[in-house]
Amino acid sequence: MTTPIARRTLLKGMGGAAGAVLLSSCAGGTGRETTTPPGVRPTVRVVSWTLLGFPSPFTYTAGPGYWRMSLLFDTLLWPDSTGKQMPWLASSYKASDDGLVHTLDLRDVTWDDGRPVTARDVAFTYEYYTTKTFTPLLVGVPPKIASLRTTGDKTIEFRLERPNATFVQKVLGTMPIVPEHVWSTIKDPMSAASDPRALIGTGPYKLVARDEAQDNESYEARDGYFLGTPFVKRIEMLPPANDDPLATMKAGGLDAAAGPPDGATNAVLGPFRDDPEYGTITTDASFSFPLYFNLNKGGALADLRFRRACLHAIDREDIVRRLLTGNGQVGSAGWLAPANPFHEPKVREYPFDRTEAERLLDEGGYRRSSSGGPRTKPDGSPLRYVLHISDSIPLPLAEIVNASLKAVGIDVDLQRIDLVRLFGLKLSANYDMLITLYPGPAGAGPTGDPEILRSVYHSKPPTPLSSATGYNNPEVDRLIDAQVATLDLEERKRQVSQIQKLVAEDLPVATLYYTNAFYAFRKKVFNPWYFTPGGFGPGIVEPYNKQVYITGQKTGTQVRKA
Amino acid sequence: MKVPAWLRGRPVLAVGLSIIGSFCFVALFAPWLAPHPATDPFGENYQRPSATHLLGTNDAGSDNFSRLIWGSRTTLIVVVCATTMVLVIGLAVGLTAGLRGGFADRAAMRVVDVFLGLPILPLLIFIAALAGPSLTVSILMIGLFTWPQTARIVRSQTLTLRQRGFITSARGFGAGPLYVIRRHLVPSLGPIIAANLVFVAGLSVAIEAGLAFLGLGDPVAVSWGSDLNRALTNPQILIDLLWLRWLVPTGLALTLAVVGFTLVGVALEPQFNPRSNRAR
Amino acid sequence: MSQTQIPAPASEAPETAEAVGTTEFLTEAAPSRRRRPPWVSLASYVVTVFALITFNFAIPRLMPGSPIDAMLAQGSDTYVQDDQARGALAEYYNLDQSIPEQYLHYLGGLVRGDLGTSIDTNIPVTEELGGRVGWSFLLMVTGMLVSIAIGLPAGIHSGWHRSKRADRNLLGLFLTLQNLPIYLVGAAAFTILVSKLGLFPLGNATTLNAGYTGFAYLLDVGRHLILPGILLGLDFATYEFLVMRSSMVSELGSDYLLAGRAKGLKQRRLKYRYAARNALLPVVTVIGLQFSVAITSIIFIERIFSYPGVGGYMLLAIGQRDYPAMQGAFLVLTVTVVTVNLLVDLVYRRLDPRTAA
Repeated sequence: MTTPIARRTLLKGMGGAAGAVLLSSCAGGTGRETTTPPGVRPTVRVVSWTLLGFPSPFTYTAGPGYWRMSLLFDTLLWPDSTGKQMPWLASSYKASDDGLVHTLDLRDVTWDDGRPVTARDVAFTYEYYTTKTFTPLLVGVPPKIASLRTTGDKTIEFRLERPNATFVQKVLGTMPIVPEHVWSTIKDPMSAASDPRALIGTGPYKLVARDEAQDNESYEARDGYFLGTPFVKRIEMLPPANDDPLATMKAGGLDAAAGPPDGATNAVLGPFRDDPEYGTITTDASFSFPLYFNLNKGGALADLRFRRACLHAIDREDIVRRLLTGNGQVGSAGWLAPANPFHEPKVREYPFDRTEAERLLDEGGYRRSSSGGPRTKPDGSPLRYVLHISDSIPLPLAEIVNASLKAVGIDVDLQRIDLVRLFGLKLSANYDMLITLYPGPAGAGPTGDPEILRSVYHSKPPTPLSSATGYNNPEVDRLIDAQVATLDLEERKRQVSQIQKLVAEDLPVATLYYTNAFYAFRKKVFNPWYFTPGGFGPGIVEPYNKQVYITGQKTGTQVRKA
Repeated sequence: MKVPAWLRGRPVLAVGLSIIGSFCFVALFAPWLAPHPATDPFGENYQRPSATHLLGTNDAGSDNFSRLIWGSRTTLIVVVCATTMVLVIGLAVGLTAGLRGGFADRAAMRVVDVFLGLPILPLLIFIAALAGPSLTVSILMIGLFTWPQTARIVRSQTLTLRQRGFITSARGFGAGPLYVIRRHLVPSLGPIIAANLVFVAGLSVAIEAGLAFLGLGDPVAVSWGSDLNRALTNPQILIDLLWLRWLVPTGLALTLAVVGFTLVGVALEPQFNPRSNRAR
Repeated sequence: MSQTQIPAPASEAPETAEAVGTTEFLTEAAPSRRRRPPWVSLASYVVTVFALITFNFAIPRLMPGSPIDAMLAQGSDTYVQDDQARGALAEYYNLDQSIPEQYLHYLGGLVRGDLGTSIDTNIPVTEELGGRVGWSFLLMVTGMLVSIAIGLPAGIHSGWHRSKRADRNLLGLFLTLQNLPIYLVGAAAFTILVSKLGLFPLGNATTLNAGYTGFAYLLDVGRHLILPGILLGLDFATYEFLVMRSSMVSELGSDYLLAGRAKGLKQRRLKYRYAARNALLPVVTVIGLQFSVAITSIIFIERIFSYPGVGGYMLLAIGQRDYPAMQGAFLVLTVTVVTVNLLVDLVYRRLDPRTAA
């Protein structure tokens, strides 16, 4: 046996060697290739989100889930960076002058299992979507149609009862076509949560790896895609380290990342803007922060003066300046953001004015106690309400709103709860005031199609998720119903303008501010990213429009050479 | 300076007590010590340390130094409430088990057994998630899950005293149970429970901060734990040494508080445990 | 955040006054449960597991604002619209039946391994957890090995030289270590060593999409384990240290050591070959006891490093308020802890010569 000393040295040596091997592999490897050499089709790593569900058309969740699913399935039309819907799965598209008849011819495309795509598949898909119901997190519930006719294998005709300004985007540009021969055998689409047949599609990519536990998915380009083999060879979706995609990209873990939806400061965005290695794109008003009042509860909440006073009491310019360092805008009382083509600038404004707020409250009969403390309602009870905020709202905002309202004598009890519970309260109309992030899971932001006004201001909204509780203005209802059937752009703009003016006067919900979306990417890996004007699919404002992956450029359907 | 007898030669105890003492002092006199209100969201945010803001400002513009001071109050409240709960429940259960014996004893010990085997944090996380984050819930939960150890100690000591015959003889002289408790149990239990409670105090500080760190604490209350969470989830934390003036002081304060309690607990313990004295 | 107290089962009655210790780890090397017959431990275990199961069942149904109801009520905004998912939810929670019937249904499901279906992913919770248990276990084992490697030698040294400077220094060091909250140390380590300096991988258990196999895969897993493992090890080490030290101290009065010294055996030999070896026995069994305390630290570390274990899953599910997933993870976590405690208890019984059958 070796002497104790030699044995110890040997062990130490081995330990040291093993350690050195591990360390050296450490130092080398936090990132991978950060450039795509010329002539090589790139691999792009983007952020994945947790618990997004299986990417079949009926089991994905929310906006991010939609665009993943869009890699595997195609719609009839699809937009590029111009925002215009191009024929996609369809080879041609025609609409009648009165907007009631939409005719499309299909390309010669086969499903993953080799069978051809026919008009019957389209008809089946539409019927499947409208007869089965899904979770509210699935986007794009299509408007109903009068009839659907197929002619031969390749032609399909949608006939509407009334003209609908959103039909093209919400049905033709959103509904992914699924194979009848697969889904007709599946009664419950949600049960197909891990069935590989559920992924048989026509899409540009195939799912090649999926690790649920580590939130990791990989997609590879499909050779023989009908537009040509996609330019980006592989898309990998990875979870961000420490919930910070930008920092992960800096450390080499991702090739493109977005800033946080609740707004990022210049201190965080600066390094990416100033670094030539990164490209950046921004778009205005992708998210907004509305303050909802529950009008059903009556009392001060139903009192217009009170609501106006609340908005006058909050210095929104200051919030945009200090919290967002300018990466946002003060909200419009008409809901639609300035970047929205239908935005009406001449709506009633609510600048920061404490005096005006106090005056309105005094006028409403909410007297202050003699010592200058919180106000009381005319009946003597304290002017006190519970303000619920979701945990995606930054705390500084909550603190500012709280303090601002207190300064004018409105006593606010701040409660911060999770989003699911907040939705529950909102729906069951069990709240006084609440602030949340908009859009919720539905995707279309304040720059989307004006049809979003229906879900906020109509007395019978499609889903109560974003509606102004207890608000009922028959004139607004009438206008909303009218604008969706108006195909003439100028006329529609007039109607939407009028809606904004009315709701700005009534103020059932107050938009505090909008945040700009920010996106940074490594130029040398892949760089034609863009935000689709009007969004893709049901109106998703994200840079993950598959057109850019497929063609490697911003417009058209021509695939770029590597 | 004359060092009192009970403190002489016990540096650990001295240090621990001074830490706890200063912490209590700061907590009690917070309104006079803090230069600014804890939440003043209208100032410039992320300011560097200056004469008016000793540690700069946080993401809303509130003064970090003042928040540190006010945060000690929340911590003190948690400590006092949780420890009181533990004392009351632990005493009640332990005394009953020790004095009565029999079925009450066995039942109590089974319950204690069950509790002791449970991992506290997952339980607290679960409950906090379902009940919604709030300080009251946190305190209640901490109290409800940390009393078993105290109860066990109380019971043990009670049994020892019973063995030693003090209680029987006192009873023999006609003493009622309350008299026994007052005259015999409390003096001998006192020191031992004190050490235990001091550990419970340290534990409650750590747990409350842990819950806040996970985002399950009360977001509105000024607490060191939630400030830690706020700092760590802020993407700017590494820029401009923000972490040095926001994260580090809060973390230190928290650690120091827990250390203080632990030191006192460690210092008190050997005094009443003959075996470790022998080992020394 | 480590708890300063070691959870230990109760003793029937203290054999001596020594058992009355507040910080048992400073005095008693092993808890005094020698007198408890195995069936008592087993019964206690069964009761605990049942309590946990019932707790798991009761809490969501007792919560104010009944979130499950909200998910099943038509018109509710959290209404799960699709028939399948809602059906699975309704079936699992069974709210229209009476409480006893619900309970039986729930128990029946547990026996079959049915922990419900995750609302967000529509995948059975059992399936989701299955992949994760292994990673948590790996992390736990690594942490414990590191803590043993740090704590044991330090404990031996400290115990042997008790009351001297080395001892006091080590005691001070470890007690400080114990009081540093693990989440703070972990977050700081992550921010500095990973994000800023890039010395370690960005989290997760493996480099995603790298497709390593064989030895390269093992190396990759190892790389990702280093920092979380060390942090956990440091967190646990105080426990090992204190127990080992205390055990050594108990050994010190032993006669055989005196005899050995009289015979002229070298200090070093006595220290390691004899004293430490004998002191090791109680320590070995006590190591298993720290499991329930360790779980806490593991949850934090999994979150900070996005390590795909059960603790991290529970936190994720909480964030999404995915109730079946939350409950499933919680149950698995707690029952595992309690089971390990029982196993350790039984093993100890075999190992300890004083109670060996």
